[in-house]
Amino acid sequence: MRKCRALFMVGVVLSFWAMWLMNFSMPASAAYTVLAGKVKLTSGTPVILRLPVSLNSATAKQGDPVTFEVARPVEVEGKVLIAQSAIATGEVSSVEKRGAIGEAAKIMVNLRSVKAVDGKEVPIRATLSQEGKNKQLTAILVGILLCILGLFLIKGGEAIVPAGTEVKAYVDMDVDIEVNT
Amino acid sequence: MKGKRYISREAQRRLLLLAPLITLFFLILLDAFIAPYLESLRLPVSQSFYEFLKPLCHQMPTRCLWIFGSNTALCSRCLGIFFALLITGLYFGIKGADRVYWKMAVLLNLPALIDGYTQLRGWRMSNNLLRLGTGLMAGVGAGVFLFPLYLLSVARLKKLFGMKATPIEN
Repeated sequence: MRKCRALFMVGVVLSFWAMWLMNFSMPASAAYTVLAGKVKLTSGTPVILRLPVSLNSATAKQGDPVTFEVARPVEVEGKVLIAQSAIATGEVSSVEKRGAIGEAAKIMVNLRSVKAVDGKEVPIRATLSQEGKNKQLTAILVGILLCILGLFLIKGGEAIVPAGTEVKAYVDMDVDIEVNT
Repeated sequence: MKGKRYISREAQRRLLLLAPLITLFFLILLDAFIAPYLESLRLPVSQSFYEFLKPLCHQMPTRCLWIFGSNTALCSRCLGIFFALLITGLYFGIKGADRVYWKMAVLLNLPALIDGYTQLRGWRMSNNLLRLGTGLMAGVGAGVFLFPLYLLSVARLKKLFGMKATPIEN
């Protein structure tokens, strides 16, 4: 029984060690094709992006460009196809300003493309949305119990996407990337 | 034919009592690993597996372990916590418990609290190995509190209602 327990503990330690190794050695995409000097970045490959500056529904307008940074390089067969800190672009697709009766603001960002190591713009798909604090209940309670003006004076919260927010985007179509061999 | 019994009858009864919790933790861990596997196969259903664990964990990709070319559906810390809970559950199922180890629970949760809080305040940045390690400790800490408490409570309830109690210790 003691031997079994020791073996079990060794198994647990080894499985975590193996998991940790995999974290470093697994390629970013399981499906890939390598041509002469070109590597195919397949559709559906995840790209992790980080927002460098915060976004606020009070200042953002529909159509505003939004820049993201790649938080983790995309590697295929040990070759970096999208470098860390590469720029990804998107735009504010909709902004709903905060309104009366505690209605919260909403902001939505659509991601468009990310720059690969060969300078190609790789189309990506992802949506980032954020909603401010809803204060409808407070506004209604104040309106009923204290003053009807409360309904119109109490507005919802602004939608703020803090800097450092991570988004998981996906490559939208197969793209051949030139890599230095 | 009479074979050797590896787990006593008492342990079997305790394991049965803990089975819903142990199964839940196992399924959570399974989901955390199935999600990136399905994503590597480019199956849209993988999103549902990520969404299922979203209420439990922030799932920030850079704070997760990467496997099959994508992040697990739980961050390193949560993965450690649930794995340790699963192991602790099995341990107390087999060995039983005579008391709640609350001092150990507090001590083992401190590293995770310190690591999480200092990172939240922006004083320093943790890494995935540290998150996993502190998560494992926090999971064991939660387990040595929760499982004995659960076993002792059930035993007391059974005693209260005059039922035959599940042995809480070997």
